[in-house]
Parts: sequence; C-alpha cells; structure tokens
Amino acid sequence: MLELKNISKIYGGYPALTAIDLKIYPGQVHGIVGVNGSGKSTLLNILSGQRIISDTGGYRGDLVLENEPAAFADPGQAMAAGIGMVHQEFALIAGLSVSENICLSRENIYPWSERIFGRDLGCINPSANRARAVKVLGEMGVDLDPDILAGELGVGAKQFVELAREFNREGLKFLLLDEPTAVLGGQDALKLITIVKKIAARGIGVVYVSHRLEEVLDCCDRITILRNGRVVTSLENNPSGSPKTEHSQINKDKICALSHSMVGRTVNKTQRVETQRAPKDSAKRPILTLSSFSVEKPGDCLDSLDLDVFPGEILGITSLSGHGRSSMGPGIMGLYPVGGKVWFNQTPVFSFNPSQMIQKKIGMLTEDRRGQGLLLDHSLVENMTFSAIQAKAKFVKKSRLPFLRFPDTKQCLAYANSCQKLLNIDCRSVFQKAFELSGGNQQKVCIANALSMAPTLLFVNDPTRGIDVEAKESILALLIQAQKTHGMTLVVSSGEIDELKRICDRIVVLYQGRMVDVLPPDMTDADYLLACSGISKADPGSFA
Amino acid sequence: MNPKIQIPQLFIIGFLVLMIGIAIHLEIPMGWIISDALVRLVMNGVLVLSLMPMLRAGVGINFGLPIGVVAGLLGLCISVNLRLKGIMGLSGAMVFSFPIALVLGRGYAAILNRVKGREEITATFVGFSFIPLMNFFWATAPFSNPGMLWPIGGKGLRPVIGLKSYFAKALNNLWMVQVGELKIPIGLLLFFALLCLLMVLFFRTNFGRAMTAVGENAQFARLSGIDVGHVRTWAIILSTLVAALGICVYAQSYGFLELYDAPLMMAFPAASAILVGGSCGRHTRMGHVVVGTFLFQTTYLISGPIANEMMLPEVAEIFRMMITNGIILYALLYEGGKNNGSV
Repeated sequence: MLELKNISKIYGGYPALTAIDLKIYPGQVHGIVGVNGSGKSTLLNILSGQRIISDTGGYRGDLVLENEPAAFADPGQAMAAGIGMVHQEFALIAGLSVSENICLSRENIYPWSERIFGRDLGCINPSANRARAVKVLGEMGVDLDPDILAGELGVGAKQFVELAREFNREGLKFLLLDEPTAVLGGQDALKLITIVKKIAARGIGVVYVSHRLEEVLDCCDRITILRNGRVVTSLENNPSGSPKTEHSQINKDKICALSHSMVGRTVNKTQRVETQRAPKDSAKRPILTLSSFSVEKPGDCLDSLDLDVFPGEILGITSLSGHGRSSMGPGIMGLYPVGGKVWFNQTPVFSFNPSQMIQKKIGMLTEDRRGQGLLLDHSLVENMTFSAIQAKAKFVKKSRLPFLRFPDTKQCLAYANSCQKLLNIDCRSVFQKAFELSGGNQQKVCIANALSMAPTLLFVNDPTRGIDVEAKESILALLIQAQKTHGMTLVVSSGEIDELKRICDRIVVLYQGRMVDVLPPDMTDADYLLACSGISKADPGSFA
Repeated sequence: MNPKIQIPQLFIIGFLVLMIGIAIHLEIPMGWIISDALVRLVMNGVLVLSLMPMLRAGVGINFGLPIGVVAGLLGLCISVNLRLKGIMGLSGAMVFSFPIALVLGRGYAAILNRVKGREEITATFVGFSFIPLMNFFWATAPFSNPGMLWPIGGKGLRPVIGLKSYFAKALNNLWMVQVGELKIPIGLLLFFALLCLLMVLFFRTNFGRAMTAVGENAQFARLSGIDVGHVRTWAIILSTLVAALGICVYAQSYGFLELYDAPLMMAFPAASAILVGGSCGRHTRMGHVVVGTFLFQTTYLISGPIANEMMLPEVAEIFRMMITNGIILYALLYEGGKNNGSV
C-alpha cells in the first residue's frame, strides 16, 4: 500500500497542495480528477520523485510505501522502489524497435558474455528480448509488431509501448499514469482502459490522472477529487464491466456530480455584468466568418472550426488547456500556420500576417504579456503608443522623408496620460518602465496599446491570467467598456468559465481542438465542464 | 548612460589609472598622451559605432565587421586609383564604398537572417571566409595606379599602400588646434560627433524605434505589424555601412591602406571596446560606444611606451591581446551565465 500523509507543497509562495491524505491499494485503479491547477500533476511529481519538486524546496508530509517511510529525490529512486510512471510526453527512442524499447536497460544478455565482460558490456540476446516483448504485448492484448521502429508508430501505439515498458518491469508495485488518453482517439482510449484494468488485476496499484470523467468512472475503483490543492472527497466507484461508448443515465448523473465537486460551486451565483447592448440583430451580417478553420499552434491546435462572429458581440472561447482555446487569435494574426477559409466583413482573407490584420483593424491582446505583449525595458508611453506609431503612423510628425519620421512626443504623452486616467493604471508616472508594474497594470498598458490602433475586432487571450482578484474585475469592466464605447467586437478566450459567463454573449466550447457546443452564458458550470470534456448538450449520451 | 559599473569596466579603469600613474612616474609627456588618445578615439570609434545597429536590433556583436571593412577598403582603393587627394580623396573613398557596403551588407544580412540565435558565431566565420575570397580579388584586381601595385611585375595590389601622397591624416589635421603641448583635432572630433549624433537621431525615428523593439522583443514587434526580417536586414546593412566609413577614417589616420589579411582580426578590438563601455547586448547606448572606445584605446596607447621602458617591447602586444580577448570571453560568459540562470 502506498500512503500519503499530510502532504503539502508550496510553489513560489503559493500552495499547490495542502494536507493531502491518500491511500493507494495494490490491485486497484485509483482515479484522481480535478480541473487545471488543482494539483494533480504536482501530486504525481512527488510520487515519482521528479527533480522539480526537490529543486523548488521539496514538500512536507510523509510518504509511506508498504509500511516503510519513503522519499524520492529523483525518478531513479522511485523506480528502484517499484513506482513507475508513464508521462504525457513520450520517452521512447525513435531509432530502436518496439521490442528494444520495451526491454531498454533490462535487456536479456548472453550469460557467457556477462561472465566475461560484466553486465554493462555484455552481449545482448535479441531473440530473447523479442520473445519477452511479444509476451508482454500479448499479456496486454496489444497487437503490435515488435520489430517496427518506435519512430514509425502512431501516437496511440506509442502510448501502448510506453505502457508495455512499465508492464515489463520486474518489481513494479505502483504505476502512475498522467492523462494517458489525452493523445488517444476513442477506440484506443477504450483499449487502454482495458489494459489498465489488466495491470491492476496483476496486483499493481495504478494511479490514473485524467480530466475525462467518463473514463475515470469506467476504470477506477476509487476516485479522489482535488480542488485548489486539497482533497475534496474520495469516493468508491464500481467500474462498469466493460467500457462502453454509450453512457447510461446513471453514469451521466455521476459525471454531473463529479463535475460539481470539481468546480466547487453548484450554480453561478456571481453577478453577470449587464452589458445593456441593443438586442442582437440576427439579420446582421457576421464580421468574421470561419469555415473549417484550423491553426497549427504547437500543443494547442484548432481543428476545422466553423463559426460566425457578429459585429458588436462578445464571444467567449473556452476549453481545457491544450484543447485549442488560445489558438484562434494568434492564428488569424498569422503567428502560426492556418488552414481553411476566413472572411472578414464578407471579404475573403488570404494572407495572414500582423501588419495586414492591423490595417484591417483586427487586433490581439496576447496572454503572454511579458513575452509578446510589452517592451519591458521601455516606458509606458512607448509601450502604449508603439504599435500605433509603427503600424498606423499615428502620433507621428509629418515629414516628407520616409526614413526620417519622428514620433510626436506631445501627442504620445497626451494619449498615455489620458489612458492612464481612463484605465486607472497605477504607476508613478507614464515614464516608468513597463517591467516595474504589476501584472494587472501591465495588462492595462497592453489594452491601451491595442486600443490605440482602434480595432473593430479584438482577440483577447486569457485576459486575467496571473492577475490578482481586484485587478481582474477592473480588466473585465474595461473590456466591456471598450466594447461599448468603441462598438468593438471581442473574442475572448479563457479557461476561467466564470469570467466568460459574466461578460460574453455566447461561449464556444472546444474539445481536442474541435467545437463541441456554443452555449449561452446562463448555463451552469457543470454544463460547461461536461462540454469541456467533450459531451455536447445537444447530443447527450455520446462523447467525442 | 548606464550607471551600473560592471567588472570589465572596473578592471579596465583600474588598469588605466595604474598605467597613467606609471606614465607620470616615467615622465612620458601628458600632452602627447591626450592628443594621441583623442585621435585614437575617433580612429577606432567609428568602427565601434558600427556595432551599434546590430546590437540594438538583437543580431548580436558584429564579428563579421571585416565585411564592412572590405567595402571601405574597396572605396579607398578606388579613390587612390583616381589619385584623389586631401579631404576630397577621403570623402571620395567614403562615397565609393557606400554602394559596395550596401550590396555586401544585403548579402551578409541574408545569411544572418537564416541563422537566428546563432548570429555571432556565423558572423565570425562569414568574416573569416570572406577574407581569402577578397585576397584573390586583391591579387587580380584591375587597378592601374602604380603606387598601389607590386613594384615587380606590376600586377596585383600591394599588402600595404602608403596614403601619404593622397589623403593620409586629411581629417586628422583638419582644423587642428595647438594649445601649448596639446594638439586638438577639432575636425576629426566634430566628424565623430556628427556621426554619433546622426546615429542617436536615427534611433529616435520611427524606424530606429522599430529596430530597438525588434532587438528587445521580436514577437511584440511582429504583433505590432513590423516586418522583423526587414528591420534586421537594415540593421545589418547600416552596421556594414558605418564599418565602411570606419575603415576610411582609420586608414587616413593610420596613413596606410592594409589589404589582404589585415581586416581579419578587426572585429575583436572593436567588440572589446564596446563591451568595456558597458554594452550588454540589446542595451547599447552611445555612451557605451564613446566611453568604451576611449578607455580601451587609451589603455592600448599608454601600455606601449610603458612596456618599452620597463620590459621587452613585445610585452605590450601580449598585454593588448590578453585584454582584448579576455574581455570578449568575459562578456560571452556573462551573457551565457545569465541565460542559464533564468531557466
């Protein structure tokens, strides 16, 4: 039995885990669910002895492995103690075959060579390795040619090889799986769940971390829900005999109950900010039309999206992280390769690059303020006016020579001062350097920069990321104010469903880069969570 | 100017103070030191100034300075070939080198823009591999002024061409003012001041600001509608242009035109000087250029006679090499260390 007693972990002053008590029994699959940032990954990192834990000051509390206290300073120690982990990223060697990968570092060696040269220089017996790999794959029920090179496998198959390698390990007592189905399609996911159950049946304790609730219900004997680094509840579960695609009503209810516990609130009590706009004219022509629009943003792809954005509306986009919510704006701005068709104001758009989009009055507020949104070493004035000066030749003195155009410092200063008052930016002066400001004020400077270009369509990515609560409110209010006074259309992407619900007219929910549903803002959080895990309201009983 | 004084500056200032102390002790005339220091400031200062656009645009130290130098040398050769004299000769050389630098700089930029993130090492080897190519050209170039050609055979340029009968010291001696022992080259200083002023003004224009922004945060610049590749290209061309001017000033001051392998190592003292001035990658200011060149070249200047007096003459050269390369090494280590720290 693996027991966690009162485990706490602090990252940079913020608690990631607080007083976690968990018992993981051999032969059981223990599911851990929670929304992003609830501490799932941190928990796994502690259990598998990842370096990041000791590098950031270690953790408090005790790990007890079969009645012996345990502590792992690096993954090697955890492995030696019988704890294996399958990572979200694959750790396979592309140039080696499947059987070589499975037997890596535990190869069968001709005994005579071992006697002469020792284990490290011994001569590997490929046929014995192959036989072992075939046996392991057979036990798992995976039909895979052991001689194929790992680099040539598809993602799903890679995940199975990865599992087989852990399965092949002698003395494996506990297996940690971090979102094992994140990269798998429906059928492969079902297969994986079967394998996980087989592994558990051999007396191995499995920790199964996922935010796909239906899977967790399908395979786990016990489910622990984490929220904000604390255990909310731990419940017994009787996994259905075999994983199914069709969801029974009971399962659906369970999923709802789980998602309520994950979010922590039952209904949205937060006040919706009244936008008081003229009722939307449905006959209005869309300002932006996307047709099978895809964006290849690494780690956050958007896949064939069909969507109309209407002038004057605030459209929300949400998904779990990595499911495509943050790629639409950057895609349109031309930061990543895109596919599909786009019409802006009924005219087709063929080339995507920032300067053209700015000319078309499309703007973007990036979520990576420090990396993309600001010149940290320059004054606020320069930050607020830079884009307008460069792209729109605004705030520029008239000059006949194209190479000798100087910014009009008076106009710049006037704009910066008015913005500072209007947006209520807390700074000593507008000549302060941008890096000295807090996150919320930096965001306001970014907004001022975006507004200086007078966009008609503004993409806003995670506007409140890394911003304290009070500043969040004013940022949201600012967005609405900007929308009202300038008649702008906003496309806001965020993982904070609450915030979207307060400001948006419609909210698009994505799952694995595809649109699941477009929901009105008055749906409950649980509905949103269901949609985020790929279950459409309009089409109950199925999941993507 | 950056108020923070770092280890290279401290080291070089300490060294300089020590040198001046010894110089006074050895009764080396102060007037000579100061007038020569002023000349050397401008002589090398323009070459150091040429590093600035590329540093500001985030392309890194222009270790490919020989490219610009070669453009300047070509201009100088054309001017000598036409037997232009005095200030006319010098300005002629600058004008002729201009289009050459433009073309070479464009090609150089095309190479550097393909290796974003590894510009400095690439630039070093672009410089190194360009020199042999030019050696071939120097040996076969169709110049006709016999003063430039090998005396025997009459074909191919000499490695060193004396400029005495053309425009040696043309700018050095322009408006020279003598105050007691002290000679102040007003014309030369004004020329340098003008170049510096133009550079400062350039970085205040829209385009100059875009260049600074590209250096500081290329992604932000891109989102603001700036064509990053275009801006980098112009930064590299500008650096090459100023380097061409720089060698013209250097050659007239030195009194000789050095061809063949001479430009090979030109980048290193210049890079050292700007680093001594306190330049730290993108945060390069005019103050760094002027102060750095002054400190670095004055140290060079004084160390020669002192070493001659106290030790073997060769020692001065050894010290110079140690300082030059040591400072570059320190700067690279310092930059690298910062990168590692932030991960």
